[in-house]
Amino acid sequence: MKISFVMGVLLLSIATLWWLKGVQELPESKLDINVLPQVSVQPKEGSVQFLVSDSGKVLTKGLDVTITLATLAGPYVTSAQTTGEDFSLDIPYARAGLTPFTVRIGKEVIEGDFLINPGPPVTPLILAIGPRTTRVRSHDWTSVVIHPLDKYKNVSDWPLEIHATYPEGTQWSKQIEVSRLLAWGIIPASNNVGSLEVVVQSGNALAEKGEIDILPGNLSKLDFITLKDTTSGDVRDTWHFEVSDAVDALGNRVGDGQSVVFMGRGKDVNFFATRPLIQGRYQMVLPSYGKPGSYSMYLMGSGFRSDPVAFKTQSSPDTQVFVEWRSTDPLVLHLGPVINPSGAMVDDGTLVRIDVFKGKQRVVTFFNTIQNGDLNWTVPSIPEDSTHLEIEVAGFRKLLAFPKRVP
Amino acid sequence: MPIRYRRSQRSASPADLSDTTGIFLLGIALTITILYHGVLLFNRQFIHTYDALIHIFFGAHYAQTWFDPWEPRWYTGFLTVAYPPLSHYLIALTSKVMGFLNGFALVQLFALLNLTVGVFRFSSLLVGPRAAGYASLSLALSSALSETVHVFGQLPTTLSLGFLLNAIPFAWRYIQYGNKVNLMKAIVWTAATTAGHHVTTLFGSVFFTGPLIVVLVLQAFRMPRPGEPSGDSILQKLKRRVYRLLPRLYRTGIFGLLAVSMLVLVVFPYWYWSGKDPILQVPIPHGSRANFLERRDLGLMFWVIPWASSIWFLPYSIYKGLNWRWPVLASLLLLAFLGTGGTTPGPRLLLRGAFDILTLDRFTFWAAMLILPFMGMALESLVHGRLKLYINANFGNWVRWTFLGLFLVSICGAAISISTLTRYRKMQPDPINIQPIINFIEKDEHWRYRYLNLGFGDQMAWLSANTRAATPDGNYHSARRLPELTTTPVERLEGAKYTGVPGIGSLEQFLTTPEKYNLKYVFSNDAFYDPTLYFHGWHRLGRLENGIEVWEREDIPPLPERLPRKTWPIYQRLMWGILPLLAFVLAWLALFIPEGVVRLQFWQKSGLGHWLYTMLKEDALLQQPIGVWHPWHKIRKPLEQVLNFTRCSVLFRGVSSAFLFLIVVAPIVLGVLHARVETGSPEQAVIQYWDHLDFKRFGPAYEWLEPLEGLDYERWLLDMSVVGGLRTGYAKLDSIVPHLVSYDGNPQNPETGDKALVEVDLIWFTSLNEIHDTIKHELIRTKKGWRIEARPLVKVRSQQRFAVQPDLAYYRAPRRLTTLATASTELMDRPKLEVLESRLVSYQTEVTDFNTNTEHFVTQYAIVGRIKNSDSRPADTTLSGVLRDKDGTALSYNNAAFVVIHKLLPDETTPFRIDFSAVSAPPDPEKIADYEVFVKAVVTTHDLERDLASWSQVDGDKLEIRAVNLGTQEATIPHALISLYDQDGLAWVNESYGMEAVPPLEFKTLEADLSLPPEYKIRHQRRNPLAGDPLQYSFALNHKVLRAYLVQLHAFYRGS
Repeated sequence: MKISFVMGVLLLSIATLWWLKGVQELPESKLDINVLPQVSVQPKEGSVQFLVSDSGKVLTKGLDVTITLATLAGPYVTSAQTTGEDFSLDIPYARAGLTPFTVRIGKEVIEGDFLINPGPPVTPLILAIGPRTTRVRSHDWTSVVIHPLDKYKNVSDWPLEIHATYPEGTQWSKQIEVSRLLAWGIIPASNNVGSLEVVVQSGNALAEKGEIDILPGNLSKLDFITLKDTTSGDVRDTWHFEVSDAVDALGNRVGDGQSVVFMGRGKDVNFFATRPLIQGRYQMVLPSYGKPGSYSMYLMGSGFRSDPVAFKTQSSPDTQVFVEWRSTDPLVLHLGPVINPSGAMVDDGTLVRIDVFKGKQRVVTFFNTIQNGDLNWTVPSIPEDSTHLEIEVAGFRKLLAFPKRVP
Repeated sequence: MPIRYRRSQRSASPADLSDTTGIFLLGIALTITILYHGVLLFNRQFIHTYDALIHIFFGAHYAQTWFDPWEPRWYTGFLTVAYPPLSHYLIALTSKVMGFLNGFALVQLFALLNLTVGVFRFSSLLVGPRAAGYASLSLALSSALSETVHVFGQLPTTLSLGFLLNAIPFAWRYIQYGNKVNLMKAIVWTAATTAGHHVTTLFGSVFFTGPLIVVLVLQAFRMPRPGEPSGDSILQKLKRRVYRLLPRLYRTGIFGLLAVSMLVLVVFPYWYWSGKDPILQVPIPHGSRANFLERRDLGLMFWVIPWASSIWFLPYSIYKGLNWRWPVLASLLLLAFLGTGGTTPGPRLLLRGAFDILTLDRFTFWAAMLILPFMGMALESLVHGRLKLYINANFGNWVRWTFLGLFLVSICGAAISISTLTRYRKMQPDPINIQPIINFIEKDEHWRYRYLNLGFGDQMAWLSANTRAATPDGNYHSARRLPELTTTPVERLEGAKYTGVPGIGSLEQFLTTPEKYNLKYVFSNDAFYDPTLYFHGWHRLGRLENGIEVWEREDIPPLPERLPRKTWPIYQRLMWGILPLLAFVLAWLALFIPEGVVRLQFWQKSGLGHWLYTMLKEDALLQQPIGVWHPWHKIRKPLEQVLNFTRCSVLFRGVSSAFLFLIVVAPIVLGVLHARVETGSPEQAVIQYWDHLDFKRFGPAYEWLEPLEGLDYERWLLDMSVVGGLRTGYAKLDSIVPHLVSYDGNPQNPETGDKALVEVDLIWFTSLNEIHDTIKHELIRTKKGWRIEARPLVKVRSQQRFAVQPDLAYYRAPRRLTTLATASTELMDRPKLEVLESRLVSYQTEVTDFNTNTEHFVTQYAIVGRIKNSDSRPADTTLSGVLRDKDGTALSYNNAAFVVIHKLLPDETTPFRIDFSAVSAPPDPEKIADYEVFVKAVVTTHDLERDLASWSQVDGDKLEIRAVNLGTQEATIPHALISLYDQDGLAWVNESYGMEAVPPLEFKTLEADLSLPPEYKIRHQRRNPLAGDPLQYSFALNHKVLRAYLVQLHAFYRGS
C-alpha cells in the first residue's frame, strides 16, 4: 500500500514536471510550442507548422501522419503521408490559448500542446454602452464594454484608452485592461443635460464614437392650478387643470413622457389618474363627477407632491324639472322639460337616475336618458311593497311617492 | 403428392367470381371514387379538414429526414415514432414529384381505391359478387367515408382499412384451404395495415378478421372429415368436433401468431417508445365521447352524418345477419353500440380506461364499413331479388322505383353535402396564405425564436411543414411531454378557447413565461385572444399582408445553437425507416405470386410429421345443413312464411303506400310543428335573446325585443355597434341565468301577468377567463309572447365637440441594414427599475382537478408588491418571482401575468401579483423558506396610453369604479388594478375588467372586490427603505384589516 502510494506520487510528480517542461512560452512570438522529441511546432501567420523528424535520420517514406488538435469546437484532424524527408505540415489555425495536440506517425503517438497569444486589436472595436441614457446627478453611471479582437477574432489583451467628452466640454480619460475576455469601465454622470461622447482606442484600433444621452433628473417642482374649478351637476360639464413648468432639482425641464399622478378626493369618492408630461406641461379636461360638493386634487411625482388645489360641483337648485304622474294604469312618470340654470333644455342623453325605495332601503335602480328635454318613463314591474322613488338628473334631486300602492 | 384445394359450399364459387355484374359494379365504384373523391381531393378540399395537414406535416418531416425520428418543431421536440409512418412516407415520396398538397391528394385517392377493392373482396366472402359490387358502390357514396375523408381528413384510417380488408380474403382462403402463399399474402398485407395504422390492425382483428374466422371455424363443425371418430356418446361427439376443427384452428393459430409478430415487428419502435415513455396526458375531451342526446350538434357530427346513408339498412342487416353470418352481425352491432359514445354508460363500461383515450367515431366508421356487405345485399335484393318482389306485390312497382330514386338522390345529396360541409359550416378558419408568415420568420433570424399560432385551426400544421421555426404548441397531443400541456385537457394552444377555462389557463402559462420556451412571436388569426395577449405584456407589431396580426414579447432569449434532443437507437431508426415501407412494397409484390398447389414436405411423408399432417390437413367433405341450435330460426322462419309475394289488389297497394307515406312524413311534420311552439316565460325570452345575440343572429335576437320610441332594426344595430367592449368579439356566453325580480301577476301562472323585471346573470368566457355580468331587462307580454322592452340608445355628447390633446410619441432608430442577425449592441437598452416592496402570501382558492373533474379548495401562494420605472425612458418589464427552500434551491418560478402594468412610463409605479398556481405551484409548500422578486426591462415605444382616470367609491366590500376616458381614442377594454394596503404596506392586488368600451370624454362603470382572499396569510415581507410611505400613494379605507386602497386603470385598445 505504502509503496504504491509513494510510486503514485513519484509518477505524478514526474508527469507534472514533464508537462511543465513541455509548455514553453516564447515572448513576442505569436506561437509558443511544446516540443517533444521528433516533433516541433513552428509559428506561422494564421497557421501552425508541425515539423516531424526522426532524430536526424531520414523519415521512412509513406508513413501515415495524423495530427489532431483538441479545439474548443471539437477535434481538428489533419492527415498526410511522409515523403522520405523531414516532414512538415501547415495547419490553418489561429485560435489563442493552449491547444493540446496528438501526432500519430505510423504506430507512434506523440502528445503535446502549444500556446497561441492573441495579437494586437484591430479596427473596428465593438463598443457596447449600457445604459445609453442616464439622468443628471444620477448614481447610475454608464458602463462601457469592449471586446477588442485581433485579426483572427481572438480577444486581444492590449490595454484600452477611454476618452469621454461631457456636454459642457470637460474631458475624462481612463485606461482599462482586458480581463476575462472583455474590457469594461464606468463613466461618471454629469450635472448637465446633453450628449456625452465616448471614444475608445487600443493601439491603432478604433471604435465608432459612443454617445450617451444625459437626461433631466427626477421631478422636483411644478405649477399645478385649476383653470376652471366649478362645474354644474351635469356630467357634460368639465373641470380644467393645468400642470406647467415641471423641472428637476437643477432646473432642467423634465423629460417628455415623465409620468405624474393626480390624486383627488371628494366626499366618499376618490380620483386617480396617471398622465405623461409633454414639454413639462399637461392640461387636463375632466368631466364633472356629477355629485355636488367640494373636491381637492394634488399631484405626485417621484419624491414630489404638489400643493392641493380645490374644485367643486355646484348643486343646481336653479335646474327646473317638472315631474308628474301621467297615468296610473300603466303607471307612467313624466319628467320635463328639464331646463338647466342657463334656461336651456338639457342635452339629449343626459342621464336620469331613478332609485326605487322600500322605506329606507333601495330596491332597484333604473337609468334612463333625456330626449328632447323630457322623459316618459313607464314604471316597469317593481316589487309590490315599493314606497317611493328618488329622481336625480343634472344636479337636480327629488323624492316622489307613488300615486297609489303598486299592484 | 400434390393436393388441390377445394372450395366450400358457402364461399364464392368460380362461377360467382366470374360474375361480370359484380366486377362491372366495382368498376363503376372505382370510377365514382376517382370522379367524386378524386376531384375534391385534387381541389384541396382537405385543407378545410381536421387531420389532413397534420399528416402532411409528418410527411414533410420524412421528406427532410427519413431516418431521423426527432422532430424539433413541435412541443420543444418529439419523436415521430409516436405515429405509424406509412401514409407519411407515401406523402414524403410523392411530394418529391408533385409537392405536399398534391402528394396527399394522390395518396388519399390511392387509399380510397384500395379500400373500394378491399370492400368488394371482403364482401365477396359474405355475399355474392353482385351484392359485393353494390357494397363497393355504396362505399363510394357512403356518408361515413365522405365525412372521414372530406371533413375529418383522416388518411391512415382509410389507408390501413383498405389493406386490412384486402388481407382478410387471403387469410380466409388460407384458413379454409391451407395454401401457404395465401398465408404469406395475408401476413404482408396485415403488415402493411400495421404500417399504416396499428390501431386498425388491433381493433380490425377483433371486429373484422375475428368474426370471419369464427364463421370459418363454426363452418368446420358442419364439415365431416374422412376417418373422423363416430358414435353418439358425448366423448365421441366431442372428439369428432375437435377433429373437424383442428385444421382450421391450427391455421388460425399460425395466422394469428404471424399477424401479431408483424404487428410488433413492423412498428416496433412505436411499441418501444410507448413502453419507455408512457403517455401522461390528462384525457382530452372529444365530441365522439359525448352524450349525443344532450349534445345534438355532436350527435349530428359523430353519429347522424356517418350513419346517414346506411342506418336505413340496419334492420335488414339484422334480418340477414341472423344465420351463419351472425358473428359479423354481432361485430357490427357492437361497433354501432360503441360508436354511440357517452350516450349510454355501456361503451365506457366495455372500454374502461380506453374510453377516454380513443376517439369513438372510428367505431361508427368501422360499423358503417361492416354494414356495407349487408347494404349490398339489400340493394341487390331491391333491384333483382325478393325485396323487389315483395314491394311490387304489396305497394306497387312505382313505390319501389320511387324509393330507389329517392334513395339515390338522397345518398348523392348527402355525400355532396357532407363532403362540402366544411364550406358552409365553418369548422376551420379560411385558408391562410402562409407565405408572409414564412417571410417574417426568415427575416432577421426570427426563426431563432419559437412562435405560437392562434386561430389557425389545423393550418398550423401546414405552417410548421413549411418553416424551420418551432412552436411549443403542436397538433399531435399523444407526443407531447411538457407538463404545461399534459396536465390540461387542451388539444392545442392554437384553439385554446374551444376548450374553455382549462384551454385559456394553459395558454396563459405560455404567455406568462414565454422566455422559458424562447417564445417571442404570436401569429394571431383570431381577435378573441387580443386582450389576453395585451394584458400579458405582448404588443402588436402590425398586420402581415395576409391579415395575420403579429404580436411580440420583448426580452426573450433566442434558442441555443443546439437544441437538446432525444437519442434513438440506430437499429430502431433503421427499422422505422425501412420496415413500414418494405411491408407496403412486399404487399403489392406478393400479388404477383401465383397460388399454385400445395406440395407435401419431406417431413410430412412419414412418422410423426405424417401423423400431424393427417390430423391438420384440409380434407373436409361438403358442409352439412345448419343445425337447429340457432335460436333465431324460430323467428325468421315464421316471418318468412307470412311474407306475401303475390301481387295484391290496387286498393290494397294504394292504402299500404299511403300508410307508408304517412310513416315517413309524419315525424317530419311533427318536428316542424314542435319547433314552432313559442316559449312562454319572461326568463325564456331573455335566454332566447341573449343566445341569439351571442351567436350574432341579430335578426332573431331583434325578434325578442319590443321596440319602443321608434326603435327599428337599423337603429338597434347602430346602437349595438357603438357600445363596443369585451362583448364585441372578445367574449362568448358561457351561461345565461335569468332571475325574475318582480312580476305583475301570479308567478306560478305566467298567463296572468303582463309586465316583468328580469335580472340576468351572464357569465362571459373570454381570453381573460370568465367574467360575470349582470343586466336588468324590463319585459312586457305581447301577442307574440314575452318581449324585452328596448328603446333607442341616447348618448350624452361631450361639451367639447372637437377635443385636442398633445400626444406622446417615441421614435426608435432603426437597426443597421444587414442581412445578418442583429448585433447584440444594437439591441434595446435596459432601463432602471426598482422593487419598492413585496410580500409572499398564501390564501385559499377553489381549483378544478381536470383528472377527476372535481373542485376543491387548495392553498395557493402569491407574491404581491410594487415596482417602479426609475428611468427616464419607458420600460417594457418582465417581473419574475422565485420561491426558495432554506438552502436557496428554487422550488417554483413564475412571472407576473396580467395583474400588473407591463409597460411603464418614466417614474410610473405599478402594483403586481405573481400567482403560483397550476404547473407553477410549489410541489412541496412546506419547504418554502424564502422568496425572490426580480425585474428586468427593455426600452419600449409600445402601449403607453394612460387615458383612463378613475373615480372610485367604497360600497361595503365592493368598489364602484367610474372609468373616465381623458384621451381621444376609445378604450376598448378597461382594466382596473386595485391595490389593497394594510398597516405594513401592500397586502393584495385585485383586478377588474370593464364590459363596455369607454369613448373619449365619457365614462363607464366597473365593480371590484375590496377584500382579501380567504385564509390570507403573510409568509414573508420585504420593503425598500427608500420607497417611502405607501399609504401616501393611496386612499384611506375604513376596514378592520385594510388601511387604504388605490385604483389604477389602463386599457386595451382595439387595433392600436
